[in-house]
Amino acid sequence: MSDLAKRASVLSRRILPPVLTVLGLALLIVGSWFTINLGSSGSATFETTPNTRGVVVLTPEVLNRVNDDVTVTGRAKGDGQVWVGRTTPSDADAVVGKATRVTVDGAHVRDWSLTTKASGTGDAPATLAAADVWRQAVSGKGQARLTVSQANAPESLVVAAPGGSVERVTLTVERKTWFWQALLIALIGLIATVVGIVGLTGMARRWRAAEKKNTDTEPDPTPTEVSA
Amino acid sequence: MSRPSRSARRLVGVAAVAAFALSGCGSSVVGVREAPSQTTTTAPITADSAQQIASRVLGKAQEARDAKGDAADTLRKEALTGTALAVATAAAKVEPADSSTATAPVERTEQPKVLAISRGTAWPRVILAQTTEPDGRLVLNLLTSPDAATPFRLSSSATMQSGASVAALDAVTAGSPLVAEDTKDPVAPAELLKAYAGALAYPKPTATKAVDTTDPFSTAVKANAAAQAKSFGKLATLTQVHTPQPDPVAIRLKDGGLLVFGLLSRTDAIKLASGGKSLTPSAEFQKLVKKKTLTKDAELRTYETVVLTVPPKGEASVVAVDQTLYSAKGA
Repeated sequence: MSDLAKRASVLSRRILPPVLTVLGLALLIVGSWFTINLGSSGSATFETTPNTRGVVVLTPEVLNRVNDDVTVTGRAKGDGQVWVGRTTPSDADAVVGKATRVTVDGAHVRDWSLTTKASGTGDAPATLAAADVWRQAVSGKGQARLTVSQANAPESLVVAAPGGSVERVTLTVERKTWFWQALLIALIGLIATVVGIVGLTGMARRWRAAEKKNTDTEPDPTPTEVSA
Repeated sequence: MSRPSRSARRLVGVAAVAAFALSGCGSSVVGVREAPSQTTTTAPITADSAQQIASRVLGKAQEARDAKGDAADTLRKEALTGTALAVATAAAKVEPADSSTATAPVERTEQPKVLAISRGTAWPRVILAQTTEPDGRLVLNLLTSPDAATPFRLSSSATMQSGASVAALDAVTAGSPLVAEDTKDPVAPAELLKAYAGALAYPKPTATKAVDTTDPFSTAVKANAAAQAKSFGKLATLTQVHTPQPDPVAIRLKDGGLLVFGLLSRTDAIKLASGGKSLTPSAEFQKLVKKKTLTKDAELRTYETVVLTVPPKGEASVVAVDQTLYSAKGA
């Protein structure tokens, strides 16, 4: 065995076990967390509670970042009427104008929340629903739900509660692959952790053996009695 | 050279799999990507949406036409705008029951056919839709939305002349560009209407090479004026002036030409010769001016909705037209 190969072998035996253990544990934790949160359906649900009398505008940054359908549910305070319309981003901006709006333009996986920013003043246009810019619109008492396919991306959604407040908006993306990917990561983490621990155990055994060997070969420090 | 031990190789293998799994968490594997950017050079609404809008608007326009009294006025304002509203309102004021000189703005027998949608995300936006009258004649309808908050309404409507045709427009999904009023390519819409109006004037028309005036409508207008003047003889004189109204709408055709929707106001002025004689006009005329004889003068005002096609090179032609009397008075 050459010096280089020897060094690599020693290095891999000494460094990889702790690295694998740490990495494996991290993967196991992350994978398990995602597996539990996504569920077997692979559904990621993000939420925000704008509580606004204006409108909530969901931009392509949250609607069109995936290849799968995105379902948005708007809920009104109490049992109020909720209206949800789908159109192009520029038309959504034009029809909302300078009215009070909460723009949803991102999502945090950490706490499954939607990132928002508020702007504008005044009530939502009374003629919002009557405008000829909507590709699809739904309304309901208490809540309304609309599914956005990616066929016509990019698109924006406008959620309004005529005469009331938009209390909560949830966005759900379902992708079964995510569940299996999370499970795979957890599994790889588990394997890496086990292998790492086995490696660490071997290292500890070797250290102990080496220590014992050193102890056995060392000369007895006790001075021997010498008689004249 | 000896190889690393088996346990070392195993550890390296596991590390490689872990690294691959981690890199697999990248955006492409988990199905997350950048949001696509919006295309702004196509039709702003889908063909299905345009079809629904056209059906709704033209249905309402029909309701407005059929309604009576205040309800009709309200419905007209909901369904019509611009030229179409001006024509319908004026026609209702003159003689709601008399439709002999007014062509129905919309008479649908089947679903409208969307021919074009204006291109781009800006406003105003237009939809060009074709309908068929019960007698088989085709009607060109222009629907307009001035801004994001205002729904489409019928802004102009004219019946196609026999044998007339419109050159191909861009695909509905691609959208057809709206042409600015001051464009010169191939001709300014306002200048075109001015030239056409001058060519129809009586008794002194202004010759033009911009518009072909041998179509059935233009020929009839000129012939009727001449015949009417001749029938008056020395008792009265007739002058006929056509005045273009502002804000024509022009849509670019696929070949680079234009489809221009315009409105002219025609004034028929009849002045009796001095000498104390009176003129007994036709029964129809008597009904309009509500007088059996004329001793001084009479004036009729008529809206002429015209649609012209302009080829990239050559004379424009009148493809569709409707006329509606909106004022009649005499003494």
